[in-house]
Parts: sequence; structure tokens; C-alpha cells
Amino acid sequence: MKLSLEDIRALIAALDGSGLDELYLKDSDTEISLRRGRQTPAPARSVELPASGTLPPPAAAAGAARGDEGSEKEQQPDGTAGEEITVRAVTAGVFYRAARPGEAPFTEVGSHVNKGDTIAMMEAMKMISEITSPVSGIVKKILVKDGAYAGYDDGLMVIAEDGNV
Amino acid sequence: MFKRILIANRGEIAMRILRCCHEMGIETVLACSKEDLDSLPAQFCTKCICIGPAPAAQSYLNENAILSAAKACRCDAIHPGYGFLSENAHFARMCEENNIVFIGPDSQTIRRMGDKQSARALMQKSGVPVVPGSGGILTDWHEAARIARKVGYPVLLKATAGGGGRGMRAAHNPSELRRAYEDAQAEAQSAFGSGALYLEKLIEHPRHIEVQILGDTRGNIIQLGERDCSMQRRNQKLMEEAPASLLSNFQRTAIRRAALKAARAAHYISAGTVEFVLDQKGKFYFIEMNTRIQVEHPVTEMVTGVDLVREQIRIAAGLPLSLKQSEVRICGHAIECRINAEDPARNFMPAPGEISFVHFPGGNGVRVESAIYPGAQISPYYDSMIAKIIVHAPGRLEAVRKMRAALGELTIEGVKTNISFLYLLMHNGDYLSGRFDTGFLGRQAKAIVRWGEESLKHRQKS
Repeated sequence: MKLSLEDIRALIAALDGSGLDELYLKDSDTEISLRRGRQTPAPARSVELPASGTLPPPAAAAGAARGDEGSEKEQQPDGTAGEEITVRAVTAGVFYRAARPGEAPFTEVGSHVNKGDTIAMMEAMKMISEITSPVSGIVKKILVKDGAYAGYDDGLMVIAEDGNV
Repeated sequence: MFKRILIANRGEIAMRILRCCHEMGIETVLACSKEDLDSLPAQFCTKCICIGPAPAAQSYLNENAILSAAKACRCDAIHPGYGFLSENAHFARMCEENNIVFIGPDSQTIRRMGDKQSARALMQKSGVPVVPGSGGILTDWHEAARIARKVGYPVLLKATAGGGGRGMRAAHNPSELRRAYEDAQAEAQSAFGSGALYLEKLIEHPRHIEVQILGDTRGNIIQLGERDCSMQRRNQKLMEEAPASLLSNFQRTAIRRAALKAARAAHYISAGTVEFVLDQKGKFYFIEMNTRIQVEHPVTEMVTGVDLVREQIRIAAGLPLSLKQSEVRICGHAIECRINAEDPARNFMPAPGEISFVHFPGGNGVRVESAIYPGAQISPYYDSMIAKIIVHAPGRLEAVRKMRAALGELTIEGVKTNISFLYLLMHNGDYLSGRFDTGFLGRQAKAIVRWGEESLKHRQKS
């Protein structure tokens, strides 16, 4: 394909008006990549359909295009949608919400965590692994009971990432 | 009897153990990697736990993850299968410390037999013939050269922490000795964490004969006959047979008796195998003892009628052996072929991929051990063996005919396999007359592949 300046402007407009972050076109003689500028780039994720199997309505398309691992999209109290990240077990083992039995848990549903904060622990035969938050955000769900066993890659917590859409 | 067993393995052996457990009314917990969540054993086990990502080091070799899974699921015992942690003395010890029964011998026996030189020394002391060589660990290459001069070249430098055909270097004359010693030591150090070596005379054109052993906690030890595993490629077995028809009755009795002596010297408990090498003069020598159930155990099961995995579980639960030595009968002849996802035309390069279609043979005396199904993914992370075809017939020639028919019927599509290669091998003159040693495939594999390609061309022409 041959792209004129007009074509490129049209592509930019199309990208702008959509919920997409990146547009990449390639054929035998042309290759063009457009990326939306953001302060905190979102990790690349493929679009997933929600469990109901139908496409989300256009208003929610912005969030769905970002991909949210198929979980229900939730709104933050102030109305800004946050991308939801599922924190997964890095090992198989027992899931603990506090550093020691009887101590206060690292975090609760609704509280804010910063990227890198310890949010849980996993233990397999006295080997302790710390689970740290991959993003800054609000803890939305805790998927495993304290003291329960989790397999490798099982979902442990869902965190709604801070930041504008 | 155990209520719940954790299976710390995958593929066909996980299916084998799972089936035996379910027959015995025992629940199964499969500890598998993320890669194997869609595998056949993961579908049929009572419960499946994902213990790590695809790489074996983080999953099937992950002692902590496996043990914690066993504890979390309240398993009474762990069956390690073969490979992976099956001969890991440390893991067996961890099980012992955590009151979970390790289905196999105790950690001390595993450690002693895993140290190849000390196993050799024990056999020497107990009157079991060993390959002439060093009396202990070599101090340096000078000592190696001295001993090599005494026993005669060619010689083999072997890692005491190795085994299963790994960690060895040959020296055919004195000028090669020092290099072989240093190379073997370096490889042993990096592969097994120990550069300790011993020396054995290199037996030329050897046959690999091994004997199946069962021992219980009451001190009963029996042998269930021998297997001929000489058909190997790069020290990996391709085909196994029971009994070893090349042996005279005299040799057969002597080998079986020597194996029993070896097992008794080791106070062996559970299923195990004593490996021997047979030289061109028909003399046999102890090589090593494998303290696990082996891939080729089905050929022994077919000719004896004994369920070896069931015996392992019974022994681990403290029960006596199901039969006495006098009740062991070897009937007929059994052959096993290992089906690998590999391309014989490309030097047997592994060929992972998706199985698009599979049809297994069946019928009288045909047994299949496999975990593949249409849609199954053959992973590049694990070995390429995808099935075992075993036949049992009244005699060797009938078994060969049965295997030809079975291989002819076996259909696997989606990945390259060695099925055609095995089929050709079943028509090879040297194989049929029993004239093959462990070097046979190294010499003849290319010719066999070419023979297949030429007959295909010929057929297409006509």
C-alpha cells in the first residue's frame, strides 16, 4: 500500500477515536506503527471477550480493549475505570496474608498498595516466597483463603491499577 | 493400604501408576507442571495440583513444591515414577522426615547405589563379578594410567555420581588417557556436581542384560528374570525383550543368581534392576543397580504375570511380596518398542508438536502404554518418548510377527515418529538372528533409514 500524508492523518484519527493503544500495519512494501503516547505505558494484552461471549457496548470498549483477563470490569468510587491485574502464585505452596500467624495481614480488600509492596507470602516446605504487587492500585479481591494451598500460577489477588484510562 | 498417593511424574508412567492406584481403590493426586495441565493423567487423576512452570527444574524436580502438595492434599505416599526425583536420595530423605512414604527403597540405599563406585565396591566384596578396573575413586590421571595398563586398553573413565550411560569417556590407548580423564572429570563436575571418577575396562561389543528384582520389608528378595536391552542409540534404549534369548541356560541361571546376590548385598527393598554387561566371550559383569521402576518394566510383567507397580505399592505399605521365588514362571517372549516423537531422517532430532490423530493397535497379546490423544501437545521441555508398544507371544519369532503387525497398525499423525524405523528394524536380519550389541544402531541406523527411503521410492515408481 502507498500511504500519503492524508492517509497517515486518517490513521491517527482512527487510532485516537478508538480505544486502542497501538496500530501496526504491514504489507510487502510498507510498514507503519502508531503508538498512543502515555505517561505509564500499559503492558501489552490481547483483547479478551467477557464470559458472556458478547462484545461489550462501546462505552466500556475502552477498558475491554486494554484486556482485563476476562474478569468483571469494576468502577472505582470516583468513576475512573482501573485496569485489573490478577496477581498469580509464583510457586505452589501455602498462601499467607500476614508475615506471621496472629499478625495483621499485609493488605485488605479496598486498601491501596504501591508497586513492589509485599502483599502476601507463599510457603513450600519452609521455603518462603514473597508475593509483591506488580502495580500500584486498590486491592479488589482476595481469591485464596489465608492458610490455604495454591497451585503454581493460581490467581491470588485482583488489584485495580491506578492511573487514567 | 494407602488412601491417597501423589504421583510426581508425567506422561505414560503417570498413567501407569494412576491406573494401578485406581485398580487398588487408592486416590491419586497428580503433581504436574503448567505445561501438563491438559495431559491425559491430569484428566483422570482424582485431583491435580499445578506445582510449577514447564521447565523440569522448577516443577518435576521441585522437591519443596511436590512435598508441600503432598502434605496439603494429605497424601500417604509419593510415587516418583522413573527419572526426575525417583533416584534422588535427598528427596527420599525429605519424604521420610515428613512422614510421607516414598515408594521405592530408603534414602540410604538410593545414596549407596547412586554412588556408582561404592556400589561396585559392594558387589566386589559380595562376590558379584564386576568389570575389571579401579578398586576405588581415582586420585589422578597417573593412577588411571597405571590401572589402565594393568587391565588393558580400551578403558572407560566413569563418573561415580553419574549413571544411565552419562558421564563417561573412553580411552583406546595410553595417549588418549589423560585427555579422557580430564574431559570426564570436567563433564562430571558440571553435570553431577562431583568430578570423582573410577575406571573400568571398556567391554567391546557389549550386550546389556539386566535383571528385575523385588524386595519387601520382611527381607524377602526375588528375581523376575532378565531383560535384553542391547538395542540402544546413544546409550538410550530403543527396544527391550524378555527373556534374553541369546543366553544359554547356564548363563541365564548364573546372571539371575548374581543379581539376587547383588540385591541381597544391598538389602534391597522395592522394585529395582541389576544391570550387567556381557562381553564377546559370554562373560558377564555388574555395571550398576537402578533403584527405581524402569521404563521397560512391562516386558517383565508380560512374561511373569506380575504387576510390578502394584508390588511396589504393596511393599511400600509394608505388605509381603505376592509370590515366592519358586512361584516365579517365565512364559513366552515379550518385546517392547519405544515410540518417540523424533525424525530418524534428521538424525533422530526430537519433533515436538501437536498430535492430530492417533490410533493404537490392540488384540491378543498387544499392550500399549501411552498418554497421548488427538490434540495432545508434545512438549519440547520433556523427553520425546510418547508411547510404548509391548507384545507377548509364546516365542520370539511370534512376538516379532506380532510387533510387526502392531507397528503396521499404529498410526500417529501431527508429529514425526520413529514408527517406520522400528518397523524396518523388526525385519532386519541381524536383529532377527540376535546378532546385535549396544553399538549396533550407532553403526546401522543410517543404513536402515536409507533402506526405508529406497523401498518407498521403489514402491512409488511401480
